[in-house]
Formats: sequence, structure tokens, C-alpha cells
Amino acid sequence: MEGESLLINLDLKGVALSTGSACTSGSLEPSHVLQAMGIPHEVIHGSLRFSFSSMNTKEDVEYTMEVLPAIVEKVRAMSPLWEG
Amino acid sequence: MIYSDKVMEHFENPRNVGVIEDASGVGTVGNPACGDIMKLYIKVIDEKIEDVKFKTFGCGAAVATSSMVTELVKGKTVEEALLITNKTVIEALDGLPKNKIHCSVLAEDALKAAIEDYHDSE
Repeated sequence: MEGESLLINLDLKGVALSTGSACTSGSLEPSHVLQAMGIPHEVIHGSLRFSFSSMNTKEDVEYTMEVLPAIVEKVRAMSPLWEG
Repeated sequence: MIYSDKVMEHFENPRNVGVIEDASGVGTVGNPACGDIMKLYIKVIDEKIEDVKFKTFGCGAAVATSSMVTELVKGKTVEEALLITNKTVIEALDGLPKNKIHCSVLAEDALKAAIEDYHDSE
């Protein structure tokens, strides 16, 4: 699955998040940290970053976990890399 | 929002997602390092593209351009389909952000690759 596709779907459901780290937010390059960990490219391109603040609640997390599975299935179903 | 309404519409409701088991031609372009892979399947009967399906690993624009290109070629003859370029796709989507133009090029390349594969196997 690709990160931006997941991000837009989550955004449409009201969940705000990012792909990549805050310090490299201007760059389209995949995370150098994940690359150094030896993670395959297609997995790195699917990485998401959820940041929490004191204003987030448990309900926010629960809501995200409710909507995420269907989004993952939808994006996976479109991918030529997923055997399914 | 940097994406046009048409791009968002194709992203949320992509047309023709899937595979064609007995495809006349299959075109695969892109690579995981770039974060974009498109696979286009065409079914050609009497030189006409009767069916077309796609699978894409990529960003919102990549999904939209693949979806749009399948809509543009379905029902066209192979000759007519060869006239479709990335510009046709961009216009049909009411424009793409500058850093996403390459997605439209991938869609054009996937289509041409599928047609080439079809011609090779004739």
C-alpha cells in the first residue's frame, strides 16, 4: 500500500496524520531511518506517522482503529503487489 | 486541496480496478523505489479494446491517472488508444499538481506497454 493513498482516505474520514517525519516534511524522499533499518522500498512508501498531543483522546485512537482496516483493504485491493 | 475534484472523484471511486485473467496485453511500469507501480490489462477483440483493468501501487494522483486512462481507452480501437498521451489524461482530470505530472506519464507508458505486449503476442 502507498502512504499518500492511505493518508487521503484517512483524511476523508477526519483523521489527520502524515507520511514521513516532521523534520523531513518538505522532502519526497523515503525515510532514511526506515531505509537504514533495511525495510523494503514498497513497505517504506506505505509508512504513516501518527503524532499525539495532550489534546488527543483515547476515543481518537479508537476511531482511527475503527476506520483503518477498511481503508487498508480498499488500498490493498488496488495494489499489484498484494497477492490477497 | 491540491487535487482537482475530478482527481479526488477517481481516487475515491476508481474505475476498472482488477485483473483480466486472459488478457490480450499487460503493461507494467514503475518500480517500488519510486513508490509508483502501475499494471494495466487490456482485452482486445477485432482491434477494439473491449475491456481494461488496472492495479496500482501509488499516491492519489497515480490511482486517479490509472483510473482515468482506463476510462479513456475502453471501447476505443487500439489505433485510437495509441493517440492518448499523458496530456490527454491531465486534461481529462482538470489538471495535476506539478510534482504529480509523472503519474500521468506512467499511465501513458502503462497503456503503451500493454498495447506493445498485445502486438508482441499476436
